[in-house]
Amino acid sequence: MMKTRRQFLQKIAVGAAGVVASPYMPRFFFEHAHAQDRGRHIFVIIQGGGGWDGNHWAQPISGVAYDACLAARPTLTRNPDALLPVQGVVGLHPQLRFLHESYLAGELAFSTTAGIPTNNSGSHEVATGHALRGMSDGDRELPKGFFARALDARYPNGGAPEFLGFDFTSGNSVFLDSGNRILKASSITNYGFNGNFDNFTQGTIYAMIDRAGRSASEARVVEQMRSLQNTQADLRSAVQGTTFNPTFPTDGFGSACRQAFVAIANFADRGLSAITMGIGGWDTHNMQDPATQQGQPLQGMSANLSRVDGGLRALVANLKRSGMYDRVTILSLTEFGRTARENGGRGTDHGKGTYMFIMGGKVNGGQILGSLVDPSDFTSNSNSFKVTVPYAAVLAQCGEHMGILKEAVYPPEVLAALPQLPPLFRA
Amino acid sequence: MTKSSSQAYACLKKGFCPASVVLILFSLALLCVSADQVQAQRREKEPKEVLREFDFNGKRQVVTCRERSSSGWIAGLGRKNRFRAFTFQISDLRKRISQADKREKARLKQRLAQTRALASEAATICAAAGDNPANNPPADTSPAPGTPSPIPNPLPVELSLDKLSRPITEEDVRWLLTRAAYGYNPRRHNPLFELAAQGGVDAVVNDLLTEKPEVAGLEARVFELLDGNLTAGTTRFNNYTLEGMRRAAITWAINTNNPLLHRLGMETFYGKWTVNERVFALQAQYEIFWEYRRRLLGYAMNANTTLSELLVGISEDPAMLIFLDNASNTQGVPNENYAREIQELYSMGTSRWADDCSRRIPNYKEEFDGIRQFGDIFQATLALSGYAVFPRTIDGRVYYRAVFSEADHRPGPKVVYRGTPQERTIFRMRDLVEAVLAHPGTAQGLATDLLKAYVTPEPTCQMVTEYAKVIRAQNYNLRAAVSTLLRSNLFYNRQFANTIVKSPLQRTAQFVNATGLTFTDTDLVGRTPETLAQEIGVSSSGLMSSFETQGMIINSPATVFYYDEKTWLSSLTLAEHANRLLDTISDLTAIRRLQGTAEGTGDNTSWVYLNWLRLPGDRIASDAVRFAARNLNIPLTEDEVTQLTFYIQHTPNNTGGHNRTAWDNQTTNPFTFSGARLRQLYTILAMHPKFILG
Repeated sequence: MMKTRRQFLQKIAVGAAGVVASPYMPRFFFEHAHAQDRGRHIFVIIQGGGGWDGNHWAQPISGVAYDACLAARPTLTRNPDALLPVQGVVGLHPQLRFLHESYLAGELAFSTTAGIPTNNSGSHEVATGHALRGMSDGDRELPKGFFARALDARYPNGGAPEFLGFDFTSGNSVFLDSGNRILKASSITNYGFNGNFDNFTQGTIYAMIDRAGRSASEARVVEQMRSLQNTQADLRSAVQGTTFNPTFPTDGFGSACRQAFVAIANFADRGLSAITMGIGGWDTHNMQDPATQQGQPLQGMSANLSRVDGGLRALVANLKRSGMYDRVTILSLTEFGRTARENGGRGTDHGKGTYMFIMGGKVNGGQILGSLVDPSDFTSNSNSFKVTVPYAAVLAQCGEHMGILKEAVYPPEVLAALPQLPPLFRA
Repeated sequence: MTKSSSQAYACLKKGFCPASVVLILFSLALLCVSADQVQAQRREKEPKEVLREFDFNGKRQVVTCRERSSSGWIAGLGRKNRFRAFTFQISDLRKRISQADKREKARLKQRLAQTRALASEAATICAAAGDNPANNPPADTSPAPGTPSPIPNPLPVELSLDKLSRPITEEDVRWLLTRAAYGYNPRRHNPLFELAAQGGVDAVVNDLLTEKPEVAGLEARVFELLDGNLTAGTTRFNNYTLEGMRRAAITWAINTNNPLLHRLGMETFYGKWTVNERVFALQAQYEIFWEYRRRLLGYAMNANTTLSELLVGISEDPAMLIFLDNASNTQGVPNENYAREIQELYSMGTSRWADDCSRRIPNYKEEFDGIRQFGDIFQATLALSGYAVFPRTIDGRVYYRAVFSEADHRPGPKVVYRGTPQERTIFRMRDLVEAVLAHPGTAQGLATDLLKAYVTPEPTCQMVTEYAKVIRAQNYNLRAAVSTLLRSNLFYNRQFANTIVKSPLQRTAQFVNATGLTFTDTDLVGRTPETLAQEIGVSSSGLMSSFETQGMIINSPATVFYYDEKTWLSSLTLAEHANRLLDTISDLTAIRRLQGTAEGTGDNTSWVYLNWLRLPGDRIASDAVRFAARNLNIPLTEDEVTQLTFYIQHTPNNTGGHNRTAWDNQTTNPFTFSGARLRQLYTILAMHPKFILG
């Protein structure tokens, strides 16, 4: 039967309406609208809450620096033979075997004097704000965390895909005060409404949310609920469909690494750019690293470093297995270092410069960034390690690796004061 | 190079010329003048030195105090060119130790310890008694308690701390219970409405601030819950469990007869003066943690508690001494942890507003003149030294008690807030507390935290400074400060509605309260702790893990700043909140009885509002919505009422649509089939931003 032109157009219109009305519409549009987001590089940021003692991650093992370290930290300084040597000058903590292997494989670079050089506060809260923003500049603080600024710069006119980042920390992160597209969840394993909520009930909740007022706090509730609405199904199928080999440690950090892998494995080509994971317990004023007997569980910093190392070993192995490691960079941040001299409780108080590492398939590893700890810091009046590698210098390069001009995330006066670091990424 | 200097250079290059001579002579003259000036400056800059004598370890010591800059002094031995600062001596000794043989090392280490101790003492003496401005500390120019300070742009009436200038309404009472307690319970709190009508805001606040005996059996039940492993033959003392303490905290919060005071002590005070259960390694120590929480509750219950009393009390509390390591802060081996937090978290914070609100002023210094030991944290550390916690066993029970040891305390004067109007020479913990209270930052710090807890997460400078003025005038009486706030126009200003994030505990307690369930329900008395806990929504493991997923491990705040409220608002948290509440309300025996009551098959006395719900007429569905919303203190719009009415009038069918129910059909008893719908209505309302937020 011949169709008139009008009938043909009507059929097309009905078909198009059917597609638009289809429940598959969001995914259909999403996958095609964000083709440019495929292949994005992904940053995994480890936030150490409490301010870790960098000198315990990597300790001087020779020369004047070792002598000064031993004098200033008689109970905390380890015998060089017990450490994992790097360039004959510093030794990584014995629990950091995987980080050491990564360094030797040229996949990890680190600094023992990283931090925020202009931060003079020993307050956890103040210093954390500075670290997450990636800078401090007197009283003037940038309003957002570093990665929030970077992602804003990438999508200045909106149009960001569904998953820009996952925040697995228990508090503030490098997405500080960020807007949409960051999924904040301590766990994605049991994410979403349970079976008692039928679709009608869920729909009523979402409809009610849409009618809610818009104070700043309300806006956040609405944003999070929309995020739940948009992501629940995707996350459930992602968690169910992901396999792990090797398996991840069962501690909190291992679990965070497992979730990071789930996120990367499923959302890497859907705009995912950054993930934050938190690990606390670094505020070691007392009994920083007590010795444990053979067979007994590790305590203090040894336990924490072991968790970091074990979690990362599983994460990197899974990333390599799935061919994703070249697209991933892992870096660490903490609010400040500890005092150069130990206190009376075999611990350390709040200081400045500290340890930071950056690792990944494209990282220009096998190098120590900036200066090593200055031996005179162990006896200095400020009782702190100087900062020679500002976080901003590392983060600016990370931004550039994301394809974002550093000028878009840092003011010129901050950039002008940054030291020149060697390239952190291979071409 | 300028044109003239280029010409002179060219002239010199060619040979002799008069202009060059003039230029050279002029340059030489300049050099001579500069040299004189440099010498004069050097003379001016020659450091001032003063000798100071003091007793140290029974011997007379003479040290030289050298002015390091215009405002700081450094201690050492020898004068002028022979002056050697202690810091250099210590550094030198350390170097020698690292190079010495074993025997020599021991001797040098001993000498190093002596030098360190002497240096520290001398540093304090020099700083306190050198003939610099610190020798004659300027008078404290901050306003004395009670003295009005200049406040720019006085707050308008609706934001003022003046007593509520209009009659208090029932909505205000619900607001007060939601914001400052654990929500409105229709079976307990209706008498407050009458009180409000008769005595106004004063009567209501006074009533809520007056301690009442707890309902019969609750305290005993809380005590039982503390010991999660209580079995025949075990000793309750020293057998507390973490799980038990968490359950006890939740049960108490939900069922207390003193909800406002309980929340003040167990959440507001605990949120500011936090101690975390995680640091207690031994089970025998759990009890001191619980006693610490009770101590804070006691401070809330006592109308006369001052901040001074509280700070002294927690400074000597074994739980706090362990938590922030002050128990290991001794002479010669300082630990700065508590000294920092007593200033930053527990009193003044890092900075305060200037009187004209133009900027923030640092409250204390990490270092003074580049020297950490002269900073306020370190000086406070010395003043706080000497405490320890020791166990003592009596009749098989281990008691932990705080002990102050003179031998472990760093003797001598210490100087805090050096170089500021607040500068003080102090000796011990109580002096430090006095110095902290005299500091203008402290009233602002307390004001800020109370405003954040009860009014808005972002108090303005004017609010803070005005409230700080009141707090100082009340001599830091904590109950008076809270009482003033809860009666004020500022507190009842709905401009700040839906800005404060409720904790998962507050949400749960408020939700359970809104259902009308109370501990006194006859069928709940006499149950075992486990079944009791389940029936009020506190199942032994489910709610605990749920709270953890929601970002609130009870008794174990995420950081020393308490919890991060942003976590309580994540998408995961909100979904978990809904799941748990629906589970809770479904699990409640009493809620099940709710249906039985309506059907005439059960107790018809416990759920009075069910009878109310059985109003005749077509309004029943929307009335049910309004009633539930009012109990949860959610002011719904008409649009929302219509939407939710539609919801409870329909149920989903198998084809993805929904069918109309009999809610609006008066020929059918709605409760026969709508119990689940009613529960879901409550849960939907509990997801409303106006419930999530306060």
